Amino acid sequence: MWSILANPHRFMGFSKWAIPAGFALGSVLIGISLYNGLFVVPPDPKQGGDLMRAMFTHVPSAWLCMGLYAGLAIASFVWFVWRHELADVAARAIAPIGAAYTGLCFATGSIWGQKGWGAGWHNLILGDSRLMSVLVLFFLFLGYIALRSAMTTRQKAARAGAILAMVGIINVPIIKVSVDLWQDTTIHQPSSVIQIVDTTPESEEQKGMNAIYRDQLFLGFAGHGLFCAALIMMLMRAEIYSQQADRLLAQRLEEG
Amino acid sequence: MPGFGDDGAYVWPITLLGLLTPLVLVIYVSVTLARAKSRLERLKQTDTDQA
Repeated sequence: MWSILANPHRFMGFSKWAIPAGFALGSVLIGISLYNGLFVVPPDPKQGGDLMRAMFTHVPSAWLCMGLYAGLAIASFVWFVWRHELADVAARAIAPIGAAYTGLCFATGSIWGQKGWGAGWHNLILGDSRLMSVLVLFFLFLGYIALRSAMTTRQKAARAGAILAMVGIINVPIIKVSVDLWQDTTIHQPSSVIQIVDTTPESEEQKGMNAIYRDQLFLGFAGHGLFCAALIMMLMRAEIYSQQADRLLAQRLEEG
Repeated sequence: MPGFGDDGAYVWPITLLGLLTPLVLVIYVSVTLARAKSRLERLKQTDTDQA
């Protein structure tokens, strides 16, 4: 499927119906997840009672910003190795959406932290491994956008951006394991949904998150994921139009 | 609508931010796409006029 979509003409045809479908399905899933998270599931005393309802916004945005960075790095790798122009178009489109979702993750986490930890993230960030690694992710997205804008040609921008994106991918596993491996350096709770490193001394029954909460998180993640995919495809279409316009202009200049 | 007691002051702003961010992104992306499309169409139109 990916090799078929690598053709810009096929991509334009595919995205014409995939964009509204992504928005529609994404909105429905986000709506179901929020409705259930806010009004249906019982409060969890282990996670601060009703306060834990914040996670139905915060957690999907946190997963998504890491996923979007992974997408940015993969698209950059594909461009770097195979010089697939559409991969570069995708990488460029992912960056602002990823930056916005990382900002959302920060803002929601900061508000949650005011009550849950008694201090907002802005008061804790320097000494905390999880918060600092997410801040680095935010700067990687912004740095990617700034670096591309600073380059004089599209080719140079693509190369510089791709190198930064590929190097920066090291930060994603660091974010993931920061709460499990370096628990003494973070106030953030350990992983409770997807556990790669098992450091909890609890019994099997106590481990992980109750399925009624976990399912809503997955629904919210899928919804925001589809919504983001639609946004990225729209930005890709904009970039393709922009490249076509640039080519037309260059053609005119050559013809005098 | 449940107020969630004291926690409502944190839960509702977080939920609102979670809804506003995608909406703001939709506006940003729609404007970007519309501008790129109209620029291309203007250039094509000029080509057609000159021909």
